[in-house]
Amino acid sequence: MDENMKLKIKLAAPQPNWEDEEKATNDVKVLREEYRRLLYASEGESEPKKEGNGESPVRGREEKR
Amino acid sequence: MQVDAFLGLAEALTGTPVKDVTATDKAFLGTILANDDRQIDCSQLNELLLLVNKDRMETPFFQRFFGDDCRVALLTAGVARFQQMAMLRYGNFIYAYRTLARFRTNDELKRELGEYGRTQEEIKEAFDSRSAKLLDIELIAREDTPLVGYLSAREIIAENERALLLQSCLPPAAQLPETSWEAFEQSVRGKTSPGQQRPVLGIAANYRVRQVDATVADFAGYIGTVVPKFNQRSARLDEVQSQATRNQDIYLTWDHMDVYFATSMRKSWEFRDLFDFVQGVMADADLASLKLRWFDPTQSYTTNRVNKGLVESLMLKRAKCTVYSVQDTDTLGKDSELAATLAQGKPVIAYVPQINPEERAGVLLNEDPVTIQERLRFVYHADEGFLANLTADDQDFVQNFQALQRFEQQRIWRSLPDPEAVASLRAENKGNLDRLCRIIAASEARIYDSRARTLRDFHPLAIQVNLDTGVANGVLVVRTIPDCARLLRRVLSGTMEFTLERNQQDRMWYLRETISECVYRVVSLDRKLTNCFWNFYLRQQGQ
Repeated sequence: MDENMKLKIKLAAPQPNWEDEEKATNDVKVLREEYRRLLYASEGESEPKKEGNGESPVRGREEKR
Repeated sequence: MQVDAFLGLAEALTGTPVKDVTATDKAFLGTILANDDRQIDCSQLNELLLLVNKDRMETPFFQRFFGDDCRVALLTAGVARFQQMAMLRYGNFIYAYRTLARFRTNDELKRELGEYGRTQEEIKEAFDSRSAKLLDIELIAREDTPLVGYLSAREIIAENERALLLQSCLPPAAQLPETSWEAFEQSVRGKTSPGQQRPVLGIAANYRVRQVDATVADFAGYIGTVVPKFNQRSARLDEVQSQATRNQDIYLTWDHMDVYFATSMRKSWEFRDLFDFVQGVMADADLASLKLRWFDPTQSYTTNRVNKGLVESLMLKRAKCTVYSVQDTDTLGKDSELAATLAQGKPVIAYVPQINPEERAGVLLNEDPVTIQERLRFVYHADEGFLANLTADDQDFVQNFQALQRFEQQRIWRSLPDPEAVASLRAENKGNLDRLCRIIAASEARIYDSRARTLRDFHPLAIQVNLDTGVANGVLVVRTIPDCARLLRRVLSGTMEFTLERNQQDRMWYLRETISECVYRVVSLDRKLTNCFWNFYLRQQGQ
């Protein structure tokens, strides 16, 4: 492998995540809902359930809103 | 003045060669032109022009370009003044002379010249008489400007949600001490969709790299401190976006718009760089007195991409001048946008930073390590001579210095700063970081110098024809903020200065702006091309 290729591989950008992709909208509320749907494993489980770890941080944040 | 010199002037004035001048005509000319101090008025100049078979001019034309105290020696300067105006207003000499020379009153001539006919006093008066702004934007601080960018918002959203998911996968406090990492990761996998498991588990994995002997309980404590920070970042994101949305409404409603600052911004430093640039230019003493209004994209926000494009198009249409800050991303889209702006016929200033490698290396050294790594990535791809310009030693060094790559791969969050980790990296790698930043800075200097040369000398899109008028419009490249401010003032106050050049090799007349030394207007010496071009362009205009 030549030196140029070694450097090219070393400098390859990290694997992109969801946030690196361009989206159709940039509305924060819409994006947050979209990402939640994508993040959680099964349909309907779009918000983290209260795990007995104190107040659910999501619900607490939504109440603040 | 020599006879041949006058024949050259007649050709330059009218745009067509002088023909059928007899020996007798030349003898007459020789006698009249022998005394350079001899006064020449409009009628007398007309007699000379008719002698060489050229059309005469009306008095307003003579007064504007030759003045009341014209002498033989000053004819050259008068013709040059006309040529400059012809190139600015019409992009050609033939039509310009035929049109302007026939106006019988100063008012008609001034009206035909449009914006080019305004005096500096009139332009200054227009600025001085402006009302104060009823509404002004609320300035978004430099460090917050990346939050008007779509990438920053998505990073905060994604990482915030990942943090909440991780927190929700933790067992109750009482069970934390006996929970193994395997059990915790199993719980995370169960809750996370397959496509998102890599970034989510990556957070815990990088935490464990940082805190080698940490337990799940330690991680729970850590996440407990991180989630409120994300809440704060989210709240700040909302505030800044609301502020920027209000700013955009104010920009839209201003009754004047003088300067449109354009660039492509994606990474955080691009927002901060543009903020610094705009503040630097508009704070210049040359511009402060003009009561200008400008659109700063680091201060504006809209959720909808189509609306964003519409806003930018509106600002482009309204502004008297566009200033492009040429950032890293040398994309086809960016160059096309620059070309489209030129084709509108308005002045376009392209700012290409002149890098002092020593100073720049110092600035880079203070940047976030990931920013330095991204700058290295950028220069490697953008600088064709990157490796060739390194010594064998430096090549070896760049290839084997892994600390930044490791830092980028192992950072826990993209959107939350980690001052401890940054300080630790800097302390362990001071000499190497210094060396790397010098290499990057030297490469950046080469890249920007090359970009400026390309735009100035041979970029195919750097001169565009205004599709309405047929006038070719060239981009003005500047390398420093003071030059940008000086040129912007001249553009807006109607005081641009030019040199006129007849280039035999290129077979072109060039009108070059003096600060940027860039070609602003051209007239081709190719007769067939020029004739056909203007025949069809002017016919399109109903001429």
